[in-house]
Amino acid sequence: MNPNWIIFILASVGLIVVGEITRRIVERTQTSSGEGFLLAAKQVGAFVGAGTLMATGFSGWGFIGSPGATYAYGTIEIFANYFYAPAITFGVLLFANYMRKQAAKHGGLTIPHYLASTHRGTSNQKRLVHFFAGLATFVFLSVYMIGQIRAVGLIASEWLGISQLAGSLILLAVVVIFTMQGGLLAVAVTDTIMCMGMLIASIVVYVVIIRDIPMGQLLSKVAQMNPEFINPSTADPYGVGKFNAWLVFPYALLFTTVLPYMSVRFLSLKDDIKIHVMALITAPYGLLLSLPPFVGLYMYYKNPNLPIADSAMPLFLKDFLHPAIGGMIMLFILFAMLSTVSSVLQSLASALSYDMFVSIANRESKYASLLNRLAVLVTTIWTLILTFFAPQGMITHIAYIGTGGLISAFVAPTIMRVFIEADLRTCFVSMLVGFFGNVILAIWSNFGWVQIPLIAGAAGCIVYVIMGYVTNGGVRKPEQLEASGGLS
Amino acid sequence: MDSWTTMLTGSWTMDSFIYVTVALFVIPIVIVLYEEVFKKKRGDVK
Repeated sequence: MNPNWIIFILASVGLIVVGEITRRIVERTQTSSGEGFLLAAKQVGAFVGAGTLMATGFSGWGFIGSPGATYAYGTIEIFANYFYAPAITFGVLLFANYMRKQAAKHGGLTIPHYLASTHRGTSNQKRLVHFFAGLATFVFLSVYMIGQIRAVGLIASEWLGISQLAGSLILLAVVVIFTMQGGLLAVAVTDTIMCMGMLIASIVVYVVIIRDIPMGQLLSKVAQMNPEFINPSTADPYGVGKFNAWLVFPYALLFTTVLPYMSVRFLSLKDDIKIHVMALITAPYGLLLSLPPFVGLYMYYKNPNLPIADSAMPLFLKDFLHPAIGGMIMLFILFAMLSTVSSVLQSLASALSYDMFVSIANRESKYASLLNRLAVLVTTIWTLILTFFAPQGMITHIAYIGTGGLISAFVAPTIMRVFIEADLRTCFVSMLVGFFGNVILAIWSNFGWVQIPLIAGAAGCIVYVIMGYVTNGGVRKPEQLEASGGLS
Repeated sequence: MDSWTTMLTGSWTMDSFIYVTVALFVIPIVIVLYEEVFKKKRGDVK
């Protein structure tokens, strides 16, 4: 029997046992029908919060795609990819506490619900914003899942010696079981366990490199082979001007604070959590998880003629590590992918079972607990159909505007609300401007994937601030006007 | 070694990597010190 199967079975059993433990915690501490499952019963502390954010933020890209891009483009990729570390850390420092407190004050079991609840307006306006945000989350995160499932299938098929479809099915089955058991708490705790594996993998690959050649020497050797790799004159593939690499930071900051599968964690934090302690945990995690792209540079030094850049990491594991250690590292790379998959799946399922259901029916279901769990299963089948059976040309087009569209639609009502307490009409209009701005730029402009959501999101923010200020009667917060007797 | 962006490693990307690392650790530590020491001393934090 392939020893990787033994590693996989043991890891899967462990994750499912954790799922069962979290199910019991959720049932014991549940305060409202949805809070236990959708918001981890607000039991997420600094350690688990940091683990789940980092594991979800650093997907399989950091272990396979980014070393491949480093192999193809040099240190520009190592530097650009690194911005996810400060983005998540500063996202936690700047927004976690604000969003947690706003959700506690106004309500908000999911990000679409949070957006609808934190803006004032009529019940119908609330339902419209809730539905639109839920639908956008469901459509675009479904498409986002396709790439994740394909990557999981590819790695699992090579690791376990089975087909890609079988690999995807087996691994998704494990994710579905623990997500159905404990909802967001199960996802957060298993993410934290997976994050530990990812940290070990990152440290191991970096130590293997520097034991062979010190980092300074590696940089100078590669500089002799190709100076552009070490001191590039452009930010290619992020754009021509060097500043384009720095734009990854605001993009990643929005990714952390705005995308529902990341920011929903802020709503699930414990009431007495120390946010800055959480940020102090994410900082070293981020540094360590940013080390694997150095493998791309090392592989370039060893063999600059690989036919496929993305094979840099798999070949590194095969050629420079003991097979048993390589097998474990592959498991941890799969963990990096699965932690993102489970988080996206949980957000997708809650968009279906909670956001769209509640906004249409105008009430919570009597069977919310069952509905939430069934939605996880239905969503998994739906994304598997999209991945393996839907017309891929159309999906590629939707994927191109997907995550960026979601970021540019949600950025204004999430972040600008700190400065202007606008109403639901303003919230809705800014979401439309951000979203369609992203679509127009994606189709008709030459801007890159980092710039488009930043520009479209900025347009949504400008609309939000101006329209919010005007509809507030010329003040930032309506209570200012109320206090001066301007509002009845 | 003609500017601060290449004075450490000879590479602006790797020098920037080091500067971002410093910011990544220094900013949270400063905030922790502010919250835990300065504000506590003033009695702002219960």
